Amino acid sequence: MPADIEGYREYVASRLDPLRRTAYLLCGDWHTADDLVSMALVRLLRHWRRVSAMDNPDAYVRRVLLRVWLDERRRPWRREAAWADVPDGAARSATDGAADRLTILALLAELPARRRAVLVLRYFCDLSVEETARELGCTTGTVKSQAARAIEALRGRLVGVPATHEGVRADG
Amino acid sequence: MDEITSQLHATAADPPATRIDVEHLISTERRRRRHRSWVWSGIGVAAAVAAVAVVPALVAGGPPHPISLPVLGLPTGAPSTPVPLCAGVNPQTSGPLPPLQSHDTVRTRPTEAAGAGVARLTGALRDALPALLPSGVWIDPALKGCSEPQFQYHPRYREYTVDGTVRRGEESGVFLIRVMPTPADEAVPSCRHALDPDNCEVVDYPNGSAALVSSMVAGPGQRQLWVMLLRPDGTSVLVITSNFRGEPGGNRLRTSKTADEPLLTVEQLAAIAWAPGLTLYP
Repeated sequence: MPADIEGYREYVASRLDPLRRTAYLLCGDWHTADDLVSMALVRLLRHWRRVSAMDNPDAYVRRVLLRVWLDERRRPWRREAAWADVPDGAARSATDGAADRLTILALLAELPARRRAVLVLRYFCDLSVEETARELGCTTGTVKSQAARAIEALRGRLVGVPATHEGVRADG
Repeated sequence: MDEITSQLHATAADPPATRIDVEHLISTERRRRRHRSWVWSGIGVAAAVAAVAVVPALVAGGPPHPISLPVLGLPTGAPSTPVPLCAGVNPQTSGPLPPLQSHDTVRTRPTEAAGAGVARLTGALRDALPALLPSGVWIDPALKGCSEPQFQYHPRYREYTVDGTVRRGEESGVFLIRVMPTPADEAVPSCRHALDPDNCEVVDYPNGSAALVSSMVAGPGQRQLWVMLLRPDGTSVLVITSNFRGEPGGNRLRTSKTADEPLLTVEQLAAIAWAPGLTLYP
């Protein structure tokens, strides 16, 4: 057990909320998100002595969370949420916040896992292309192309997403 | 802020109250470290971890049979004769050592030298075992080069263990004893600390000691029996046996029976835990 358990508590208290939100966007439901974050926190605890000395513990925890999520998705009993009826973008009201959220979740669920991860890391966690590539263990070119495809998929379904979105962020 | 960024933030804007209990994660991890691979002795650590998740789903049996554990005298003196110890083979770790156990204990940790502790505990066990094992049953030590059970000291965990196989003819089963200072957060006997909290019984003794008795079903006819004695002097003695062995196979744990029934009963495990001299505070 790490000696600096108080440091672990403080770190988790400050990062729990963003971790849960990230997990939610990855998996699509809060219940599973809590499971994923719990598993990530246990792994963090086991390596806290080493991780706490890192320059960027957040990156470590995010990588663990991504790995846990990808591993869980491979389990045969894991069922993706059924999002067969994605609301049609043209029929949506731009002011309908709840519908927007459901639509975003549905669209995220339609994306392949790593493309979804790219989207969440780039546009929710606000990581650069290079940082995203490091966390996913791929090249910056892959991040750019995955992000472009994800945006392309969303663009066709959402009202108001700029067509040149990734072109603006790809340098980041 | 980009449109897609604001859409994502809005989507995750209203999280419900979390179910994550950080203190529970910490205490569970503490227990996991203490009750590491020997919970499923005879299999690898990774498989043991997997078993925690896999095996409860396999539990098909009801609670253990009513238990009447022996009330025996508290440990007294040292072994009656000098104890011949074998050199054994202590495997060296290839990776980094786990962190030193630093949890509080109900009593100041013993200061006895590890070598002296091994000799004293081994002598006490060898003195007691012949009278406690059923006829035809013997312990085959796992320590290479040893013909009799012998304690080993694990400095990183600050505990003594005997690892071996209980045998009778062609039948066999896991056998393990662990002696350690009782952790402060396990001072009050509770089935929360048992192998299977749903199949557990707490037995209190008039002298202030208590035993946790638990069992777990791993498959058809496959059981692990588990007795942890909390001595009033601050020593915790755990004795485990089973009638199966497990081997990791992919993401699953494959178990196979090694005897029709465990070769020792929980009453016999408890009697071993009560053996005079199995204490860290002689």
